[in-house]
Amino acid sequence: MAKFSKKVLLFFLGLFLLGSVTTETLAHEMYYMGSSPISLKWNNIVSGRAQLKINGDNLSSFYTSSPNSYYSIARDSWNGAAGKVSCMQESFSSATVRFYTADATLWEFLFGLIFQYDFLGLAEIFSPSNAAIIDEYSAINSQGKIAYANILLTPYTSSFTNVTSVRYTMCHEIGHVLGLGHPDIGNPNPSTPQSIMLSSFTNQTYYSPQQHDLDDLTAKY
Amino acid sequence: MKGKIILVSSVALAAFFVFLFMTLKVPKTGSLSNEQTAVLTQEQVNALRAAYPLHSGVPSFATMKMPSLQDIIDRADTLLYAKVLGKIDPYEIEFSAGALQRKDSFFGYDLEVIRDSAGKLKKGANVTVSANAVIKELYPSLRKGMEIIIPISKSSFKGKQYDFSSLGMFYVTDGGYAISAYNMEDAIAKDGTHVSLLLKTLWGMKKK
Ligand SMILES: [Zn+2]
Repeated sequence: MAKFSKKVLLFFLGLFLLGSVTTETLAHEMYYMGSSPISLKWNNIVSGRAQLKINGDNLSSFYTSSPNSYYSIARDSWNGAAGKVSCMQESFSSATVRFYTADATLWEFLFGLIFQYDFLGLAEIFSPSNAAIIDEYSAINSQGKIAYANILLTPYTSSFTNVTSVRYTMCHEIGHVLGLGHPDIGNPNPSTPQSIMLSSFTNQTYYSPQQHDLDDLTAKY
Repeated sequence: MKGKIILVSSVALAAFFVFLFMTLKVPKTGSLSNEQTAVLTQEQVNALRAAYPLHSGVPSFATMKMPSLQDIIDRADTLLYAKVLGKIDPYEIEFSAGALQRKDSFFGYDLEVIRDSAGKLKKGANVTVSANAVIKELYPSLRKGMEIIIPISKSSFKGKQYDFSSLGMFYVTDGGYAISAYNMEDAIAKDGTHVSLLLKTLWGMKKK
């Protein structure tokens, strides 16, 4: 009996340790095959830092002009994060991360008439062989590498509830470009930490990467 | 001897089903004196969830602000009570505007109209609803033969008939009760309402 209890105790201790190791060392990924994460990382890494060359020429003045300067704040928001990211302004033709303000027809094409006012932004990521990474299968085929990305933003700027929601959305989408997934949904152990990567904007008051996001970056890069 | 065993097993099996039926107490349409106002209890709704799971997915790459049930009703052309005839084969539409050119894949379903809240589509009419694959994770997977309440809007894209929403979508159970297909608070609050009453209530919410 005592022997049995000891075994049970050891089993649960093992389980607990396994659990704590798992949550500490794995970043939230965008895709999982069953419960196994599929790691996606930026392809161009120099001295341990993902090199994001960002351009905002195709953004409307709502996103670029002062006093809010949404674009430049978003571009710089991940620069130096956890010592793993460099974000640089780049010309449109040489950029690897291009921001666009979508036009109304594109927004309807993507989200339909019923949802077009609910979607604030969309990141689209591509592998080094120019394949869009859109699900777990294309994620596996990409060899885990993201070479470039487009970030599309809503033409319906009144869909944003406040200044913070614009900033949150733009910073959030760059997080996806870095390969980060949502902690609160779409993974085997969902949780709701303070994070720029939470799946929807509700009433968050922050608009830059949080400790959780820096930990995810450290685990990934 | 063999006959006796079969008889005993049959009685036991029958008793088990009677017990199951009494425990769940899901009323059938025919047995109701006033089906318009009948509402299932939370326990009965919970029991039905095994067959009609609540979906809560969101697209992996998009930032979304969750709309309310009121928003969905206001934006939909109509609310259909329909039967799922089956999944359509995914198809592609090319799009070109300004600096962006693309070809996207669409998924969806063929439906048979049982009732149209707006009163434009006839009972038995077939409609096709579809959505861009970039938001596929927002939608539950519907099975052939299922009955649903579904918000739809006429698409303005050539080759695409209706847009549809997973939010504000309800499964209609065998007994004629509706339970929310998507995990949104104001829709779940209506779980267990009889389909006729729910259609009337939801359509009545629409701002004219
Ligand atoms: Zn996201």
